[in-house]
Amino acid sequence: MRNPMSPGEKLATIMRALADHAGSTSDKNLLDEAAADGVDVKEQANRVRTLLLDSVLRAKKKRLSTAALAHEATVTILGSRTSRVPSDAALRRALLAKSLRRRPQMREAVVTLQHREFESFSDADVESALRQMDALGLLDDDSEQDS
Amino acid sequence: MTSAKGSAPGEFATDLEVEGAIRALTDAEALRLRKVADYRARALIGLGLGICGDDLLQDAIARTLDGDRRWRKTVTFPKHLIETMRSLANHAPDELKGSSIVTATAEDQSGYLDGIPLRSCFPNGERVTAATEQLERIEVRFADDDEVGLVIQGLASGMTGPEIQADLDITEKQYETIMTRLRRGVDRKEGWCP
Repeated sequence: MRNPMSPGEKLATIMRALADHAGSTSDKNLLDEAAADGVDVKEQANRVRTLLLDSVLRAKKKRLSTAALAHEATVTILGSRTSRVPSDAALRRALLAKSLRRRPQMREAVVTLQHREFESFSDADVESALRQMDALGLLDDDSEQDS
Repeated sequence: MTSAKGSAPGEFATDLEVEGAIRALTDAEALRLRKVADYRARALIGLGLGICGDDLLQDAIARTLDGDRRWRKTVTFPKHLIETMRSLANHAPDELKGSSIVTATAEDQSGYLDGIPLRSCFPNGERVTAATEQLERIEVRFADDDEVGLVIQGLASGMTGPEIQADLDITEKQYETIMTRLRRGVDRKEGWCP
């Protein structure tokens, strides 16, 4: 025994059945029906295609907008990280040395990246290495302690 | 578009393939999508959601592209959209079971319900009135057609197609013919889109 339906549920059930029926009706029947009802099939079909293509465009714009916001957030974070790199060359060298003492495993990677021995790093090499480590969040603790 | 976890490369359509499939829709396929979307939207109106068929079509595309309901290319594109709309429409009423949502105004909501944009939410009283009036219009339209009247009664009491066929002792083909009359009669009452 089924529960009695509300008018809304009854209407919904009928409309769902019609949706299923329309979904399974042959192309020929649909076109014949439209012609009999005086529907401009070409115009209706173009309207649907345009609506769907507009939706694609909107979805793409939304995706681009989301990506742009994420990029902006990343740039902001990276921008704030650069402040962890000291402006003075001697301080930068001291910070890098301290960071590499704390993370000996990083020393080889940094040396490889700069293609020269640590002792012969130029100021530019030091700054470059620090910025890369900063972007990875490796200076978060180091720069806040006395160097 | 990236592949879903565990999916074979190329199993799901790219944005470009979706666009190509839209442009390649035949007139009949486009017309079918339009009709299915309208009926699904009308079903939701009966349950208190005021949306158009256009809204459902647009949401089906948005879900297809954002990866939520991607198009698996083993099914045709029209079939994918029809199934996506069915799924979206069937899930929306679950969210409406709490009366607080049904009676709230659209301004109080985020604007979406399970991804379906809410044009309006009818308060309970208006919802019942709108559905009752719509049912009455359909019944009046078929007052002279006993067969359609009986099928409407069957559907409105929750019976399935095969159950109605057995109850009325009619063949599947006869049932389909009656359903076509019902569908076309409802179509001629065009112009209902809030």
